[in-house]
Amino acid sequence: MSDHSSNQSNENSKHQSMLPTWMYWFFAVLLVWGGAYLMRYSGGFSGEIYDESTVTYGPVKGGAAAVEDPKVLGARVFKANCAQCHQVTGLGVEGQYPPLAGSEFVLGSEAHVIRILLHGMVGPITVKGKPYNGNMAPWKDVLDDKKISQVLTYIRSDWGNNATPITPEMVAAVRKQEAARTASWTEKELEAAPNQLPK
Amino acid sequence: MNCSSDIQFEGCGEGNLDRSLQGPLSLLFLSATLWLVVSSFIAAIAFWQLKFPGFIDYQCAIQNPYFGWFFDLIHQGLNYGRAVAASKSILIYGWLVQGFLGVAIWLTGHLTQKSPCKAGSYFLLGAIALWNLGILVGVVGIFSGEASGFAGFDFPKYASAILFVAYAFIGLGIGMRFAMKRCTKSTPAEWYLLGAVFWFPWFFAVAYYFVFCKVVFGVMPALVHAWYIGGLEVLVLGSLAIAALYYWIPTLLGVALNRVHSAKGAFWFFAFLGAWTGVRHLVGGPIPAWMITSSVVAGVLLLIPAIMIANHQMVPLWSHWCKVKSNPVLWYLATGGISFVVWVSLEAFLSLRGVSAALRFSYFEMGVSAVLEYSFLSMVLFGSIYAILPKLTGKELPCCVTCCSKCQFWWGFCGIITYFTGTFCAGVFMGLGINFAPMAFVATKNLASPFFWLSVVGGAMVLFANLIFVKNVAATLLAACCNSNKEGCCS
Amino acid sequence: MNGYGRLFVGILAAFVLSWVALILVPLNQVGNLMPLEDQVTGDMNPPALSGLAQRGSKVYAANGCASCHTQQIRSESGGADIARQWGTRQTVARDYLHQSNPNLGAMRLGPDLANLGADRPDLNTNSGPKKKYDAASLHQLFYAPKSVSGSSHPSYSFLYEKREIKGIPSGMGLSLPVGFETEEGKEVIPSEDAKALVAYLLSLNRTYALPEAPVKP
Ligand code: HEC
Ligand code: HEC
Repeated sequence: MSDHSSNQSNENSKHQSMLPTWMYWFFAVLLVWGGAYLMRYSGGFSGEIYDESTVTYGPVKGGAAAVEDPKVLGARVFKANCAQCHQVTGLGVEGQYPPLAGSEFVLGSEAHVIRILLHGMVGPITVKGKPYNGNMAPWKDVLDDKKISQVLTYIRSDWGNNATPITPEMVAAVRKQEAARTASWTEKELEAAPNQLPK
Repeated sequence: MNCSSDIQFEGCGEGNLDRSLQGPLSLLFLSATLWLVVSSFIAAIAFWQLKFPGFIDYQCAIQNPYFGWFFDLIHQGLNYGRAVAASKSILIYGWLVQGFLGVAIWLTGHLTQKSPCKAGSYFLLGAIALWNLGILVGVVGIFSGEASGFAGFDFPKYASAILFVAYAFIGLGIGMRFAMKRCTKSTPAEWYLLGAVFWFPWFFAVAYYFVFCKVVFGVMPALVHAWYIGGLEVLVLGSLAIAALYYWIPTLLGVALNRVHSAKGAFWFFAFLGAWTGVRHLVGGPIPAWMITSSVVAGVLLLIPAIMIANHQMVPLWSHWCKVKSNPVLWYLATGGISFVVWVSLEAFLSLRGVSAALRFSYFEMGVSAVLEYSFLSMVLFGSIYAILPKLTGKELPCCVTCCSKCQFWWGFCGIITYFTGTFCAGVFMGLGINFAPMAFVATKNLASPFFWLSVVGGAMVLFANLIFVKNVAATLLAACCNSNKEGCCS
Repeated sequence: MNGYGRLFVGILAAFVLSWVALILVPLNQVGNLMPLEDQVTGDMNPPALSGLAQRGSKVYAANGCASCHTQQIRSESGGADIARQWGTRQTVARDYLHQSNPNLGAMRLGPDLANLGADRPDLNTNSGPKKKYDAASLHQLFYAPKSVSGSSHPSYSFLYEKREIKGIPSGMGLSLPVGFETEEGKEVIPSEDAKALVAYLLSLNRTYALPEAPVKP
């Protein structure tokens, strides 16, 4: 490889240039085209872009973002955690588990329902005119603020319920306000607690 | 051409180079030739089923209580899918790779001036036998339903392993011969030859690992397979064909190559671009766009080395047209050399996204691969074998063989042009039809039908040419065996 | 290092460069994908493949179905695949996550099968009502393609066994249309391979949305 490959040809090709001129031009055109094509259709060299016509000048956007509907996500949290007691229908079980559909607690103060979820509930309560006396364990260590807000938004909007959505920030604020609390809420205690969200 | 003056004969001395290679290479070329014909026949059976899907269906034969099982077996082994896989694999590994390995072995001997000693000869013979055994096992595997399903890499795992081992012996032999060469001046033919000898096992090993070892699921095996096929087409078979052309054209013409001092540049362009071309076969497929795009660009830029190489090789042919006219070997080589550029252009064209929207997945692709496999690679291989045989046997080609080789050329040449025209038109109509959504899918078939028959005619002509070729190779080797000096059977 | 040494290094470099760029980097980008959870239904996409379907994928490969059928939907700009209703979106690497051989194919003498398990357009008219394949209709196509109207499909009758009914019928026999029924006292039973193939085909359904391949409404 160190020398010219063909000795014989060196004599008569000394005065020949490496390539005919038209080739230089042609190759230059090909190279420019290649560069441009690569720029245009490489999808920013991302592993997420399959349709080469996706324009990716500037920062690369990796496909379309997934939709995050809190109600939809909340429905999943509900099915996984709450439905066993309160039932998928939200109607609960008479005498054991209170209903969520049409419940004063669910539709009432945002701060209260967040408190119930965070620390659980115990003792006699009345929901939709019927008495219950059970015990719901706290959820504050099981579900994070986001999941709690999703499930609350869900139970406040399904089965004919129609109350404002709950955001993770609201849950975080209540959690902070009640950080010292360990016991579950009773109906009495709840009535005493402020029913406005902490500022 | 090379620095043969400062080379001493080594190896076992007595007996010349060609004599020591005669046994192994005769076996190799004969079996390669036979595989070529076998592959053509199986392809014919496959093709026929496209028009007459039921023609080997055993339901037609079930009334026959005695041979029903036989037809069942034929139907199982030779249904379209398996027949296509078998004929393609045989064509690639039985004919092209094997034939070009033979050319590589012969060229290695002549470029390094080292003949294998007796033990080496037997060793080579064994490796060639093993290679053919691998193919036989692979074909039986495909017929009995164990194909891997990756076109062009269809042999089952065990057969591919045999091929790899057999190749390892041959490749090592070639590599060692070059390593022992004293003079380190090298020629273009050697670069391409050595490149191919190393690239083949590397590509093959990676493909084997991903396809058979099932380490990664999903699209990776398909991606690796496409990449491997590109490597095989361009860097292995393409390289070997180019090496052969670089060697034969100046040798047979007795003149220097044109502007050959740009050959080194062309080689490196070829090597670095060629390795990237395979993935373009997946245009539009489920892999990230940039992989395909970079492969498409590499494929288009491959035109640069292709044109440079053609410039080195074809210009001398052009300016010594009289010599070319009188020597059929050069007809083959010239056709092959030009087809190389044609193939690179066609593939580049097909890989462009607008074009592939319509033409990808149609008969057109069959046509393009026929240009590669037949009019480029096979033509160079025919020419090389016709050039090597007389040296191997130490005798001129029998007169009737020379005669028939001309005849074979014209059948093959016209055949491939007819075939390509047929598949091209059929592909365009079928592709545009499928790409035109309001048209019923079943109706798109009828569009292609008349041209399909054209390609059947072309295919038949190629098959006939291949038959002449077997006859020629067999006759030459036989004549050498029987030591007969009969001549003058030209009629 | 002599001339050959340098040549060898160059040859190696050409290979390694392409291997790193087109094998190693892709392995990193698409080699370790995970199924994604659907936000609405909670399903994992793509759904796991049953063992039978996994085996069917091998039958598909071994019989060279890929020499006539593809399993890849190209984007709207890349061909008429979506316009032909073979799929609702481009297929992407994640769709093939569970397949040991994605069977992408390179020829379309037959229609694309990437979504065979979903609703299919009528091949004879391309409009009109869609049909949905079930095991029986697929067995019929492979055993007796001539009995399917407009079909020129190759037959795979060797995947089926015709045998005498001894005692009561097994209940697994194919029911073939008029004119193609089996003789009295015989029944056609799909082999394990045929069952696996059909299970595999019916599992092909990429109509769910993925973040990298959203379904256009
Ligand atoms: C182990 C069964 C159980 C599970 C699981 C459970 N709860 Fe309760 N829940 C109860 C009981 C029992 C009460 C009544 C407590 C009481 O009597 O003091 C209650 C009360 C409530 C109340 C107030 C009363 C009402 O009907 O409005 C709300 C709101 C509530 N649960 C929401 C939830 C949500 C949201 C989840 C899921 C994260 C959940 N619960 C999971 C048993 C359960
Ligand atoms: C010779 C080419 C060919 C081969 C090989 C082939 N097919 Fe087909 N296939 C077709 C054609 C053409 C159609 C279109 C409809 C028809 O003619 O039946 C089709 C249609 C189909 C359909 C119906 C698709 C739809 O949209 O209605 C299925 C399913 C199918 N093939 C599966 C297979 C399987 C599985 C194999 C392998 C065992 C296979 N095919 C092998 C050509 C082929």
